[in-house]
Parts: sequence; C-alpha cells; structure tokens
Amino acid sequence: MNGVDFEWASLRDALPSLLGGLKLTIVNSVSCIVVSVLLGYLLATLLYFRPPILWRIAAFWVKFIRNTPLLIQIYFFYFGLPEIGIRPSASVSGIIVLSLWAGAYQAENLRGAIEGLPRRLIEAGRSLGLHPLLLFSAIIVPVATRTVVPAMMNTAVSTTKNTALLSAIGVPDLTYVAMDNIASTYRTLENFLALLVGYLGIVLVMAAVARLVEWRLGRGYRA
Amino acid sequence: MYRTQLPILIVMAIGLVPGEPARATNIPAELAKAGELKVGIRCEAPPSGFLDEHGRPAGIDVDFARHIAELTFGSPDKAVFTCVTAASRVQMLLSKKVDLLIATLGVTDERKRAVDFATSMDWGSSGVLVRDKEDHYANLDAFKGKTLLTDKGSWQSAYLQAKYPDIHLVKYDSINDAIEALRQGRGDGLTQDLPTLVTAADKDPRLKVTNIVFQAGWSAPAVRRGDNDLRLYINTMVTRAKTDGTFVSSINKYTSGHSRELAIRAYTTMAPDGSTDQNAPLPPR
Repeated sequence: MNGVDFEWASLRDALPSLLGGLKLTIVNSVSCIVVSVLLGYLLATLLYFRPPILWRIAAFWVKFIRNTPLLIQIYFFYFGLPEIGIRPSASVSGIIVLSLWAGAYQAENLRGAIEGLPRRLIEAGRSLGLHPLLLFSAIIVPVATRTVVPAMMNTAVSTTKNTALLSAIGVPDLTYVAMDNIASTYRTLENFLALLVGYLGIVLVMAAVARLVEWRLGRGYRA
Repeated sequence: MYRTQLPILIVMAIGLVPGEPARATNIPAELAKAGELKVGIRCEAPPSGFLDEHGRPAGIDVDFARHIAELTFGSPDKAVFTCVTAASRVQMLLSKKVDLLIATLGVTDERKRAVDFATSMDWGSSGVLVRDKEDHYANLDAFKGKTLLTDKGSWQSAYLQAKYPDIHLVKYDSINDAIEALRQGRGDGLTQDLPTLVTAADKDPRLKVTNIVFQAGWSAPAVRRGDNDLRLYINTMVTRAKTDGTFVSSINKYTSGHSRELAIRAYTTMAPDGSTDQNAPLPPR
C-alpha cells in the first residue's frame, strides 16, 4: 500500500549519479584529512612553544571549533562571509570549514600525546644540548605521532562522515545525490542503503590504512 | 472572462467570511478513531505554510487543515502539524509520520505512483526570481550555461534536468537557503512556484520576479496510496473550502497586493490550460 518494497532497478538507475557523488565525497574527505593533519601539527607546535599572541589565537581556534556545532560553522562560513565580500564556492567553503574543524581536533589529539610523553625523554634531549626546535621535531613529534595514530584516524573517520553535512549548502556529494534521488523518485530504502554502503566502504578502507600505518610505526626504530 | 469573474472575486474577497461551520457527517472511521488529523505542512513557503512570529504554523494550508479539524472533530486544535520540506514530504507521509500532506505538492504522474492526490486546491506556474538589477532574462534558454537555484524535491528541478540539461542546478535543503544564496550572488536565478517567488520579492526589494512562466499545474493534498476513505473525505473538504470562503479568507489574511490577486485567482478559478482539478488515483499496484 505504501510503496516500501525494495527495487533493485531503481538502485541500478541511480548508480551513475551515486558513484559521481561518492567520488566527490572521497575527494572532499581526502582533501580535508590532509589539510587538517597539517593544520593539527601547526597548531600543536604553536601550543607547545607558545609564541606570544599566536598561541592564544591557536588556543581560541581550538576552543571555538570544539564548542560550536559544525553545521553552524558551515552555514556561518557559507552564508555569513559573503556579507563581508568573501564568497568562496560551496565546495571550497566546505573543504575549508571541515579542514579547520578537523585541524582543531587533530591539534588536541597531538597536544594530548605530547603531554603524555615521559618527562625523562624530553629531559634527556635537553641534557644532550639539543636545540628546542630539533628536540621537538626529531624527538617529541615522532614519538608522539606513534601514540596518536589511532586518535588521528578516529578524527579522520569523523571528518569523512561529516562531509555529509556539506550537502546542506549544495555540495553535490554522495549524501546530496542520494537525498535528491529520494526527493525525486521516493525510493527511500534503496538510496539510504547506497549511502550506508558508500560511507561504510570508505571508512573500512580507512581502517585498513590505519592498521597499516600503525603496523609500520610500531616496528620500532632501526639503529 | 476576467470581467465576469471580477464581481464574484470581489464579493468573495470582502464578504465571505465563514460562519459557524456545520460538522461533517462522512468522517472516515480511521480518522474518527484517531481523534486528530496529523498533517504535514511546509514551514518555509509563505503564504501556503510558514511559522508566524510566535513560531506557530500559519498560512493558507494551515488554516485549511484547521478548518478540516473543526468540521471533523469540532475543534481546529485537533489538527496536529509537522513541518516537512519539499525533499522530505512524501517520505513523511509514506512512513506514517503524517496522514495527510497539505504541502504545496504539485500533481505529477511521477508522484501519482507514490501518493494519491485529493481534489486540487490551487493552480500555479513556475517562475524565476532574480536579483533586482538582473531582470534581462526573457526565457529559460537564456539560463543555459548559468546557475539556477532551487530546493531539493521541487518539481522545477525534475523538469529542468529533463528539458534544460545545460542549466546548472544547485539544490538546497530549504527554499529559504536557496533565496539567501541568490541574494549573495551564488546563482543567476532561483526557480520555484510563482506565489513563493512573488512573496519573496514582496519581502525583499533586492529581488525581482521575471516574466518567465513555465510548467503550469495543480497542487493538491495527498494521502497514502489506497487510503481512499480519507482521500474522498478531503475531496469534499477542498470543494467546500473553495465555495464557502475558507480559502479566500485565508488568502486575505496572509497576502496583499499582486500576490493576493494571484492567489485568489489560483484558488477560485480553473487553470488557464483547461485542466481539471479532479485527480483520479492510479490503479493499485
């Protein structure tokens, strides 16, 4: 009576557009993850060395991002900034906001890992007379990175899943295409199934990559 | 034609305020048992449906639903409203979140496969809204290679994708987001039902409705497929509201100027293309 039967044919018809959306989701996710990891290291460096003013900006950034809803940040950037003359496209807006969002979380992941390092490791470096920058880049960051990979991968997975929010501002990603298909064909089950399978597939690949990275980093240092 | 209709329209516009309504007698058993009417309405599509300054649903569709509830249960408050968007409205009906859609749903063959339409309430056309100083588009062909904004699930998007594949369409979750995006220069125009565009242009002098008109059609309440008792009941309600002044009194309440003129014509006359307001459901699957 109410048309909830599953139609493989409608899924097959929608497949080309869904694959196009999936491609954009992957591009958005990879772009945001790469930028956010770089931002995370930058912010963590500022929070570690605490240069005047800059570290306060970094600390505010992290607090602001962590304490406001991501969807509002997306709307603010997309609809708010044009009022002051800045008008990036939907895709660019989405990638910037999501990268800033994930960068804040990656910075927190790194800060936690750095603070968790044994004091004697840092003291040993200092007693060898290493320059603080060399100590940070050659000892602290590499060791902290080994412990922070699982947390960073969690944030990366969240970043991927949160790309779905970008459909609200018209980024034609997987969610946008599926929701649009639902609105025009009323095939709810088929399109939501495609959505779940699409995101699950991306996240499973990411989990495999994470395991590979953890394995590689867990091999220990070579003399 | 308009000369003969004008006195009727004027009388309806100024004089016909519904009196104490008589209770309906042919109430479907399921509806009587439920004791309330669960209705999906638009909350961002004035004058049909929107939230008033207190955040409560208002508009022509809302008044009509309250009118049905009053005739059915003796109280307009027995209409329980759920906001739906263009993209989600049919799913809200199919998943039984609501039992009736009065949500500017255009009657199309594609939609007839998903829902059963009652008698159509009003006819309308699609149009294009542009920024004030960019009113130089003569027809849809002029938008080839340009960007038109709309909301997901609008019938304009399906039409344009099929007939004008060269027009770049960007679809937002709500028409308000699309209008905001147009103001900010994120598209060359915005397409939706004409009354929605006229209302938007009335509110904001930076926006203007072009003379482009396309895809005329009826909008109608919808029920789940096979829900024949409710559909026939709503049929009688629509017919009654068209003649007892319910629609006209709502239109007078929520519109003014050109948009009032447009709305009264759409609710009280037949469509210019000669199409009927009666909708027969497709045979059961």
